[in-house]
Amino acid sequence: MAGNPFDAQDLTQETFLSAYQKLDDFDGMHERAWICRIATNKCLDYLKSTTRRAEPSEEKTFTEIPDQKANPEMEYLIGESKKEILALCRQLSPPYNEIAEAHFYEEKSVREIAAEKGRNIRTVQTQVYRAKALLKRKLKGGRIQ
Amino acid sequence: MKEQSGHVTAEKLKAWTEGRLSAAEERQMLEHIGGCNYCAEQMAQFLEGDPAEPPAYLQEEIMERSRQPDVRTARTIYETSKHMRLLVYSLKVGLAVAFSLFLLFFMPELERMKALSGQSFTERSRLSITEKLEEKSSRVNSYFQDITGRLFHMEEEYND
Repeated sequence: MAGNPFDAQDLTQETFLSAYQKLDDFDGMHERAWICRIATNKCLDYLKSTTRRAEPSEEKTFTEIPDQKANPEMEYLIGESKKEILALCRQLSPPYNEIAEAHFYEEKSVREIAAEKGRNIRTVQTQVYRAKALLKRKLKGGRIQ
Repeated sequence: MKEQSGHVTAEKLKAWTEGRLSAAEERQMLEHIGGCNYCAEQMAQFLEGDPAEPPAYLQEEIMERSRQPDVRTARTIYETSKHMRLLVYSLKVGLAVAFSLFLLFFMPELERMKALSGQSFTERSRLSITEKLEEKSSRVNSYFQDITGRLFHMEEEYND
């Protein structure tokens, strides 16, 4: 629904934080449906705020995965999507390129990256946030400054 | 599975994942799912087979974010506002009950005193006593109305 993995991750995070905030409202039944409803409403808010796609665009930055049941094909498409993420990360300028590659492509946590590179966790966290914003802007066709 | 009462079907979910729904159809479907436990469960089951995994760092990132002060503060504020709304509602109910009891017990007594005052006092004194009682009764009435109005206003503020 988000159209790119970065917004999808943000929406996932917002969903779980909203569920945590309103945990007392949960009646203890149908947990999966409850989380799903929160996620759906978050996505609706996202769609309304960005006024996204009315029709499929000709230029697609990320490969879409059409069929759930075709597993070998889907695994290939997931691999292709990962390659596209890597290509995007390498387009950023230092130090964001290496941070983005380690986090978004290699899926390392902020702690792991900070430990590997000998940097402060807060610094790495800030760089991850900045890299994500740059990648989102790049996906939407803007220039990276 | 046929569509009944506006609930989503497996065919519609499949069309959605394949990008065959228009933006308006997608929004309509999602708005329904956002308020329907049954359809939300259907969608969750449908998407359960998706082999795409979230990034390995996402869980730790979410847990870390939930421990940050602004998230905890937002949760506390949400819980407090719920308690405050309950408190305001309870006060309104309590005041309504108190006012009803006041009318129930005090007003007949006022009428009785008016009738008694006509027998033992001069016309001028009788009128002044009942006038004073009526005046005080209307003051109390205004006081309760003012409190109730303030509580309604507080409730509106918390709901905002």
